Amino acid sequence: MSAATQYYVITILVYICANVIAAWGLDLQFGVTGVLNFAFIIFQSIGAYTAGVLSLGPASSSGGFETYIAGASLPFPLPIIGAMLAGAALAGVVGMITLRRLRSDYQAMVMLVVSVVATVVVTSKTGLFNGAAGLSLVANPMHGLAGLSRQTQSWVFVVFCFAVMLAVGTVMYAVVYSPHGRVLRAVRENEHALEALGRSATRHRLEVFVIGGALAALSGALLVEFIGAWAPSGWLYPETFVFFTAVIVGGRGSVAGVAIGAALIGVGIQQAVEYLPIGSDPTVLAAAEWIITGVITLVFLWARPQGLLPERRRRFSGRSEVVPR
Amino acid sequence: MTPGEQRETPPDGELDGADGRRVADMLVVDGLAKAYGGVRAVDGVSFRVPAGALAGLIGPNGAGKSTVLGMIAGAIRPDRGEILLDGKNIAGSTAVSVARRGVIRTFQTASVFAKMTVLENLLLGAPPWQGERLRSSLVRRRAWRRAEAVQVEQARELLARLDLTAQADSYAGELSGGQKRLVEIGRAMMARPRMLLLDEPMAGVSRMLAAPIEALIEELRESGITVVLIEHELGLVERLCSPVIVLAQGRVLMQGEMAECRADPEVRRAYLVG
Repeated sequence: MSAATQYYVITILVYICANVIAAWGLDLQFGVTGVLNFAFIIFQSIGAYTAGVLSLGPASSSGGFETYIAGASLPFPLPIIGAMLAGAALAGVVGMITLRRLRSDYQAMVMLVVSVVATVVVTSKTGLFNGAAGLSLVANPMHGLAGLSRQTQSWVFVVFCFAVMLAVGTVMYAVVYSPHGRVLRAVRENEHALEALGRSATRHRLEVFVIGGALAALSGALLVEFIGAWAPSGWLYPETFVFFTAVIVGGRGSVAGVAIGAALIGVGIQQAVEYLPIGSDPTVLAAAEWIITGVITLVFLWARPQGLLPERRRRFSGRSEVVPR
Repeated sequence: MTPGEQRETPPDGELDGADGRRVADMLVVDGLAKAYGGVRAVDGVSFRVPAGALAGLIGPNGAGKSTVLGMIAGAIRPDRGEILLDGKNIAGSTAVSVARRGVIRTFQTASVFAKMTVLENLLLGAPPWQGERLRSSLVRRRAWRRAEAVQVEQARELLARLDLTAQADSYAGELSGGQKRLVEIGRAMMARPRMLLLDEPMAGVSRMLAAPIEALIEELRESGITVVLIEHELGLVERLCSPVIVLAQGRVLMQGEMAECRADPEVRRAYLVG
């Protein structure tokens, strides 16, 4: 395999891992529990920014090239852990404000507003994360591995991303196919009936909001450590709908389905568009991507709302729940 | 008792039982009120329900029955008044906290978890337990699986009593209206409640399923659970309920036995005749 092909494959694989992890985060919120988080992309971004500033070192060391807060040179994997904590903390704050008092449709509207406001704030306050230019020169943590070629180091990063994805997938299965997962689905189905049985729907919504926020941040951290840069133009509010499409296409509440959806929508469409006879103008290609994503969402909502791999009906063999493998 | 006047109750939250014994009131509603804009949906409602009784709450549409039930269940916040459950004021408590005190309700429109199986619906009725915590789904899975197995067995037994064994793996949303009612009541029974609030359990139920539901309610009473029942089917109220509280235009018209209520001219005027 040529170096260029290898780089292409590595990029695709890292993006698949990051997208799947993020889509699982949204699936836990929207697919399983029914929380309409239209601000999802900001949690991926806080993860990317946090991992970036915790890897880059103090802003003063860049000689004024970029300005940002809380710069540090933490060793791997601390920036990633820091990113997850930041994502969880931001989700906790946003969730406490929006999820406790508002009805779900109003929650969705507030989330959308939060997403727009976050982009404006980060863009205009250059002291936060270097404004519209964003962070750059974030080093891939594997590039410090001695005795390995740059390509091998990138493959090691792919293996790391897959390991993280498998770990997250295992946790997703454990949560979704458990009595806890049953309560989460009950929140989605009928929160009033659930509360009348002594379970707090708000508490469970807040909980998945925080976990989903941490997973989104984790995906952002992996991406920024691979691509080395992160800027507001890459996380405008419509980006959230790519993840919603992934969940809808894959199948709400289906762990395996959402993984397929995330790979197809998050990466597949972007690659497929390259082969359309519409030229190579990046603006046209980006527009085509959005149109195809939108059409696919509508087609699935209309013709196959349960998605490619629908959420499984829970069956109990004798006295135990049968967990699909 | 004169129309519009509530039956006098002995002090200290106790009533005389039918056999002369002193029976403690489990529920005392005192001066409960709720207004929506300018409309007084509930206007100073007071009544008592002795422990172990099956009390009927009847009245014409718009009388405020479901609002009263919603306030007792914690779903609606009263503007004023007290709701004493075993002597403790729970007015304004949340639905979650009321349910955790053992007061479980059903809804006017059967509220099942539609895209969950009938068996899962019943499992959700069981009182909140450790296995439902997030941490439990990640660690000590074997321990909660054992506890869940016991619940599954209880749920299956209950389904057999409700004649719903064949539907155990069906989505609750796929059932008929009457079957949904049975699931809702079964789910409430799984909760092992101290008090059950049933909001029109016969609404939309076919004749075939009405008898088993009635038998189930009677069984609940005999098991010692205190029940407050809203129902328009007065034959059923007469067969099962004592006392009966008649509401009209947000106020208590009278409280007594169904036969007394039937004989009361004001009740007849307000409700029974039209």
